[in-house]
Order: sequence, then C-alpha cells, then structure tokens
Amino acid sequence: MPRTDDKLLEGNLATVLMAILSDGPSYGYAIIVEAEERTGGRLRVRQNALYPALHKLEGRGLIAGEWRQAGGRRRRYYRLTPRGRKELERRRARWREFAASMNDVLREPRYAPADL
Amino acid sequence: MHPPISEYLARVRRGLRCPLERRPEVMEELCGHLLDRADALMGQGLSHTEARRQALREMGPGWSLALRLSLANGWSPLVPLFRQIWAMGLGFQVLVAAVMVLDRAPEVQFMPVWEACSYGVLLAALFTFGFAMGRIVRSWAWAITLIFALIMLFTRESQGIEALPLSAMIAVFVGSVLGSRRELPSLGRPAWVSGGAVMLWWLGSDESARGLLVRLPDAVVGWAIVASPWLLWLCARGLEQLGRRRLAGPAA
Repeated sequence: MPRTDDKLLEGNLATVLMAILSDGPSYGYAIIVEAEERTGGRLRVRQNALYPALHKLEGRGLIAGEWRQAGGRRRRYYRLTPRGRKELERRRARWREFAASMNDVLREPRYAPADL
Repeated sequence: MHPPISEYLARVRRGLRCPLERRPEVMEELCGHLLDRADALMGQGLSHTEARRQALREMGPGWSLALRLSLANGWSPLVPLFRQIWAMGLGFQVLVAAVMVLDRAPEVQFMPVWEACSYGVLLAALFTFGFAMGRIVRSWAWAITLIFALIMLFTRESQGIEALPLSAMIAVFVGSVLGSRRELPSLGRPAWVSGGAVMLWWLGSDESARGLLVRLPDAVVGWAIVASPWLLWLCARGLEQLGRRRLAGPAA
C-alpha cells in the first residue's frame, strides 16, 4: 500500500489530529494507531512529530489535555475544545474546497496528445 | 524502565526548554508512548530489547525531539540572545547605579536631566532586581515585594532616604511579578493582592504620595532611557510571538 507523502501529511497533521479527536478523547499512541487504521496504513504519523503538534494545539486552546489512569498506566488524554471543533469545521470546509479545485486541475485531459 | 529508554529520555530532558513545571508531564507522556509502542512491537514478535530499540529509532534523535517540543511549548532560539542583551543591560544598570550612589554627596547639585536619569537608573536597577528574583523564586514574587517593603520602611526611617517612594516599590513589584511568570494571564494572584496592598499603604503616606507626584514624570523619562535594553527585550519578545503566530497560520 503506497504511503501518503510525509511533507503533505506534515502540513495537515494538526487537521488529522483534530479530526481523530472529534470522535472522542484519546491519547498520543492511540491517535497514531487510529490514523493508521482509518487509512489502511497509508497514513503514518511520524512519532517525533506527534507530541510537538499536540502540544502546539493545546497551547492554542484547540485541544485540552488531562491525565487519566488507563491500561495500568497514566496517560494524557486529549479532547477537542469547542474552539477546536469550530476550527476543525473551518478546516474541513477549506479542505473540501481545495480538494475539489485540485481534482478539477488534475482531471484527465479531454484530448489525447495524439489528437492535437 | 529499560536503560535505553531512560537514557533517551534523559537526553530529551537535557535539551528540553519549556517551563519547569511542564517538564515532568512531557517526559511522562513520552515515556508512556515509548512503552506503548514497545509493547505493540513485542506483540508483533520482536524481543523485549529489540522492541524498545525499534520504538526509540522510530522516535528519532533525542535532540531533534527536544527541539521540536521546545518550540511547540513556546521556546524560541532567540531567547538566549535576549538573555545576553538582558545580562548586558543588567550589568550596565548596576554599574551606573553604583556610580550614582557613590557620587550622591549632599554638596553635589545634579542637573535636572542627570537627576532624572539617575533616578531612572535606580528604578531600572530595582526593576531588574525584582525580575531576577522573580525568576529565581517563581511564584514567591509577593514575598520579595513584602521583604523589600520592610527593608525600605526601616531604611527610610533610619537614614532619611526619600528617593525611594512608591515608584520604587512599583518597579520591584512589577519586575518580580513579570519575572515569576512569563505569560500575563497566569500572573500569581497572591502577588497582585499583596503588592496592591503594599502600594495602597504607600499611597496612604503623605510623604510618598508627594514624592511620587514630584518624581514620577522625571523618573519615567529617565527609566525609558536607561531601561532601553529591557524595552528592546520586551519589543523583541512581542514581535517574535507575533511572527511565530503568523508563521503558524490560523492554528497549529
């Protein structure tokens, strides 16, 4: 299975994280596992990019973290804040618009080169 | 904890630049992640040792992770530079304050500008003192203010020093509060309450109120001149924050 381009993912990592957290609170490792499962392994979040991205989102008030006991270990669970939810909606809309534009640009040529 | 993991975490901890109270949380979170990942790799058939090594490989070099985490937690490479500027400014202020104190013989008549500057130097030095102390003792800014107020009270009465009215108190108090907390929204409430009480007490004194009214305008000008390293530092920090927000876009 081809993997998503790392650069492309890095630019959209915050959106990916927020999208996963929109389904409910989760912790770092579970988030990257979920991202892989949702995409059939195509999207693999680089482990050293995960926590800086989470901390940045937390610093901006888009997600909030709290410690919980789970699986015999203390884990920091993150949840989407109301502000984060709004931001995610905005990003979703922007992404759909962008994807539609890209699809329009990248569509198959109407005329094969041989016809020209 | 497995030795490679503890060594790795120690490397990250050494390179991490973020508020002290945040560090244990960051380290615990990383440790949990590495152990989770190692457990998952063991589930795929790797040995205990190999699973931990693989988990660390995937996490990348410790210095790189520490740098990324530091940046995500509000640190900037410009901070050390500002510290240098601050240290130079502090040295300058202390030097001039010392000269001023040594030169302040009763027969010497200062020119108004020099007097304003000298008073500003004193305020800047007091502010710097408060800031440095605030950084060292963190949330005990209120204690610094209180101790300083007591020292001032006894000094003023015993030696007749009138050059330290309310503005000097404000300088130490604001400095210590700013030094104890980086971000304004989380300034310690005790610091505001106790500092405010001390200021009200000073305002209640006729002498200090008179001294403040007479001296404050001159002192502000003098302080602005002498505390220029500070003002530069604050401006640079503000610009840096603004720049980073713009670079980061509307959200992380």
